[in-house]
Amino acid sequence: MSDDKILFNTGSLDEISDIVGKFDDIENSKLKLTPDNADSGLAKLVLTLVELIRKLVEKQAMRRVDGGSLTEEEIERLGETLWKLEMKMEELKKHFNLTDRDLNINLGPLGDLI
Amino acid sequence: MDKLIYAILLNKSKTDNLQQTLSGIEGIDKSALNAISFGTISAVCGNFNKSDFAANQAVALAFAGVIDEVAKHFTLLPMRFGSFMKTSEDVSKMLEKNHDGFLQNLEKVENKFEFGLKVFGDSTKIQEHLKATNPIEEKVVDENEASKFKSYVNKKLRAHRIEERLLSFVDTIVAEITLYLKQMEATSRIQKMASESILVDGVFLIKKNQQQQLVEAIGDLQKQYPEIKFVLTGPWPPYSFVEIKLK
Repeated sequence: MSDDKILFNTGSLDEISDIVGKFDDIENSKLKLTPDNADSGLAKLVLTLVELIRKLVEKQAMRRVDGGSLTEEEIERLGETLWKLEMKMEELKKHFNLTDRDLNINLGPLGDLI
Repeated sequence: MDKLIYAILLNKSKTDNLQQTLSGIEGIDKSALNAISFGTISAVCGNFNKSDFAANQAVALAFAGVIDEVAKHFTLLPMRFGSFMKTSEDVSKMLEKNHDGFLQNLEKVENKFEFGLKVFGDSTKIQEHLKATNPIEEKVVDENEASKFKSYVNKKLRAHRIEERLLSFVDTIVAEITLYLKQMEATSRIQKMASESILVDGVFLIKKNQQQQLVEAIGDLQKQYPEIKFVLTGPWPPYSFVEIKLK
């Protein structure tokens, strides 16, 4: 993009690039499926979807806890379930040699999946 | 030679004037541009062999550059990169078949330009800042039975509350942007939290003479929120505001 298209920017582009680079590993967040990595690529795709659902469940659960509609017993059970889900997820990530960053697919103009 | 279509434009004046204006603009690889018209609608084309057309970044930028140049003179709808048709007759037929859709879209974007706004910020730092200025309630559920699961829920709940606070901060910024846009009668598309560093990603369609007003509005917002970076770009042809499926 040519500089004359930038109408307003108080900082330098390097500064913005630093902020973006800190969080957005665009290359790594692309799903690169090839005949050679079909297994690990599929594992990454499946685990990303599982992680997305797990986080949505967790978010909804926290909304309910925050809303004060759960009993102490229910919170205890909820905590145990969420903890076990997170531990299982950690186990799977370790097994497939994946990190949290790997499980965030960039959907282009739609932004990050998680 | 195939016909590479750059844009569809509204040509209310005579076709001769259009051809004269296009003769002063170079296409990709300094090729000539020509217009194929149907009524008040024209397609801006260039002659290319489709098989020789390289779909790479440099050519894509050149393609966008041509559209940008034509947009300085006419209201237009940018065509997708690499839109080819075999002959002038094919282009003409396509214009005829899609005339109403093109006209509807052209009238919607007439004398307007697209502007892009991205708001960058380090979400971790902003969360810390929000936490420091308004501390999060520490204990959320009773942990007196020394349950590790309740402690776990507390940890998650604190994180959830910080995240909600960040979202509410972004909502406030978007509400302020929307207020300015409403005053300008702009059409807009705004995405919140496009990523952890892009807090707001928006595109607006406004009249060209409102550009300065928009720049000043963004300047005001920047002064109000020095911890985040506002970057405004444009004017662009209306890439994000064309809704048509070619027949």
